[in-house]
Amino acid sequence: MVKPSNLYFTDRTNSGNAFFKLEVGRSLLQFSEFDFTFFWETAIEAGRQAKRTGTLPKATMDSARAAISKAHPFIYAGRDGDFSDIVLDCIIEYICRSERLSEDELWMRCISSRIPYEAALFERISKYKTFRGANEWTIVSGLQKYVKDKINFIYEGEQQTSLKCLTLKQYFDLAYSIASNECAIPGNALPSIKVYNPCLAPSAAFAVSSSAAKSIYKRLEEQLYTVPDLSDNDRVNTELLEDKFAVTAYSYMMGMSRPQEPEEELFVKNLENLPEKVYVVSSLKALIDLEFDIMSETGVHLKKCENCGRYFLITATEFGEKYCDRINSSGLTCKALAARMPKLTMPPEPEPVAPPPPPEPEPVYVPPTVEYEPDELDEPENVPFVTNSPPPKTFAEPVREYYTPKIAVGAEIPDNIEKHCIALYNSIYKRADKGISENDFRDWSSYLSNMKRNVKTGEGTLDQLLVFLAYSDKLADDIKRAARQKRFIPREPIERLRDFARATDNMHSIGNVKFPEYSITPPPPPATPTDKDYSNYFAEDRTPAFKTYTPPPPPVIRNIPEEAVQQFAPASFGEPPQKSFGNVKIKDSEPVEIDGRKATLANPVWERVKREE
Amino acid sequence: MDFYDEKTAIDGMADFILRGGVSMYNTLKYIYSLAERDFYNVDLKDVIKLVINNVTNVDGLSVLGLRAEGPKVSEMETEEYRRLLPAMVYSLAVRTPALKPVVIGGKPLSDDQIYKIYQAAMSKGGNNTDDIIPETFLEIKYLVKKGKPLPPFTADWYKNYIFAKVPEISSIKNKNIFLLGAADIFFGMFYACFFEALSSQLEEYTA
Repeated sequence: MVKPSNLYFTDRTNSGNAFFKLEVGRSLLQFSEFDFTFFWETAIEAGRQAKRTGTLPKATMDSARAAISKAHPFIYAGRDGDFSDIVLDCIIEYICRSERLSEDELWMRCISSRIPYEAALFERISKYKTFRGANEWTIVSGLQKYVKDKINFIYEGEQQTSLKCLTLKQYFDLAYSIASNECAIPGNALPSIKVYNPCLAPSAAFAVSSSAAKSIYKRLEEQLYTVPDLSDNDRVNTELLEDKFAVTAYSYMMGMSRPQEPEEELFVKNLENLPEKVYVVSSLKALIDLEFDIMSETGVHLKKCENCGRYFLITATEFGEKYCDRINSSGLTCKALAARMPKLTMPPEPEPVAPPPPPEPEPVYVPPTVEYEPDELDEPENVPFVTNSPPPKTFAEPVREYYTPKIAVGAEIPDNIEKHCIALYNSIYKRADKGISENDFRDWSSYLSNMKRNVKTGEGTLDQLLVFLAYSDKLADDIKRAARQKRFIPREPIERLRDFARATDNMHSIGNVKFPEYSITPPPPPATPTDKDYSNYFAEDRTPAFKTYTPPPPPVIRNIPEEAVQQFAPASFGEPPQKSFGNVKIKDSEPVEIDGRKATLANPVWERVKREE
Repeated sequence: MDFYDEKTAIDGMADFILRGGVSMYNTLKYIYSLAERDFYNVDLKDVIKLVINNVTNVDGLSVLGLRAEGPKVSEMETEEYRRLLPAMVYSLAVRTPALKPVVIGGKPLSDDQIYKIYQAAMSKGGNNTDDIIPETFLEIKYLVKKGKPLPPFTADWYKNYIFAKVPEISSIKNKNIFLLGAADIFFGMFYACFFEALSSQLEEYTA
């Protein structure tokens, strides 16, 4: 079993004025496996109570905060600092997700806050907007995924060695650096770590033994009375002034003598448990990465237990371990459980089977070349190829047999029939589930589409489609009538459809079926291909099979006497026609000749409509 | 207009006008401090949204992390600049006659009531410092009576005063130019929302 080493850290804000301890490896595992359900549910409950009462319930919030503090020592260290508002962050995230609001919209909603709950939400989101805070809940849940992913990336798999784990860790970190570089994250915003001697750490004056610090302060009190205030340096780049500040601070302890014997003994006793170094981390991710690095340096790794599937700590020499020491539901550790199970013997490996011999190649037909005269092909022994079919007697036959191009033998459905199909479909579809059930409509429509397809592929004829359309017209009328009466049509027509489907092969047995008015005869089947056709098919410069289109000559209107065409002049129109109503019959026009045929343009007869009083 | 208690109503309305003036004054200080260091952290649009939705909240902008005192706004800590506060209260109080068309309970404010509100606001601290604001109460009353449009509520008088009396802010600096430009946008928007809120405030006092 691995005894994890300890790591001491403090966060950048020194909010606790103390050093915090972390068990390397164990805290990583704990964080990756931590279940946030209780925290989440408690936070949502706090939000609901706040909405009801108008104020955030302190007890529920504290309970939620205490729950999430156990996830990682860094969260525990910042529970009064960076993570003090994590419960509110969780509530904000829940509201935005459940009501599909952006943070800006929620901010606007709470802008004229009347109740403390809304004011708290508004203030928190204002911090997000002015870069004085971030949603810590989404950060923590995101970093948990980061940890899980990194653990799986580095430690998952059977054949792991220390070198391989180190290589994979470096690879993962480099990938992260590339991604952050592409996001143009500035250098000073990347997670960072500073290492200190514990007595030189920023919060050392308070974190290291307070009694030792007080005794030193007493010795330097007089000199420290006149120290300047160097805290307010907003305009100054303090990184360039570190040494200057250091010399300034040293000047107030210059010449200090060694402590007396009792004081020295007290100091030694107080500093017994001080760590060798303290890490000041800028963020949770920095601490997580530091933990991975220290694990790698100290030879501590993770391995997946073959029993429970969870990771456990191993050293570099324990890569062969398969089971962890966690106690599972049986009350035993996985290791103990594995020791009790009978050892299974693996079946012997089967003897290698000789590969099957390659299949014999199929005989390939080699067509005869043109230098053979047809007469020579009459003698089979002169044919220079091997084939299963009988040798051809003429030159033309093999060409027909092996180079027959595919020509569609079906008919195109004319436009008017296509329109009729569409109109029928729309008419019956409109009444689906009103005059006809959906299943029956589906049956009918699939039958129609099958009929049309059969016509196009030549498996059916256009006459059969027309008969079906005639039947469907009658069906549509029945459905319309039934829909008006708010009932479905009886099953009989659908059963008749099925009978019809069975009987379409023998049209004469249908009975009194009338063709619609636009019945047309199907086009004649295409002519059987001839040698002449095929020779043209392969010619490179074959002429097209269709005739060029020549438009018909425009019609000539004759027999209009020239005297009838008058010059435009207002006087030639004479008196305007009298407006008259009643039974007026306007004369038909004079007969004219169009394309050699006489035509008369008949005018309508207008009759006054008498209204009944 | 009939009030539950006319004295309370007039006092409340005058108080509302006073807080509006103070809110204007403080907002300009916050905007000035924003230009100092938080120029890229705080969006001016958010500042204006926050103020126009809470016209009488005199310290609402502190929630954005801004401060209206300290070295960041030292140029506004002069005596000359502080004299702008009564002028801002006056700029809102002088337009009280614009409430005449507001009818609540079937009755508008009477001329006497309007004048009392104006007097009360002036007594609480309104003053036309150095007569920088061209409008007068009678002039606004006349325009409202005749149905004529009022002069727009602009930052011209504010800028004129700055140029004449506050050299620290009238000098050409990034902060100063930012402040004067923001004032141009802010004044008009603020008055429109303030007047609407003032009209709604009357309902609280009516019978």
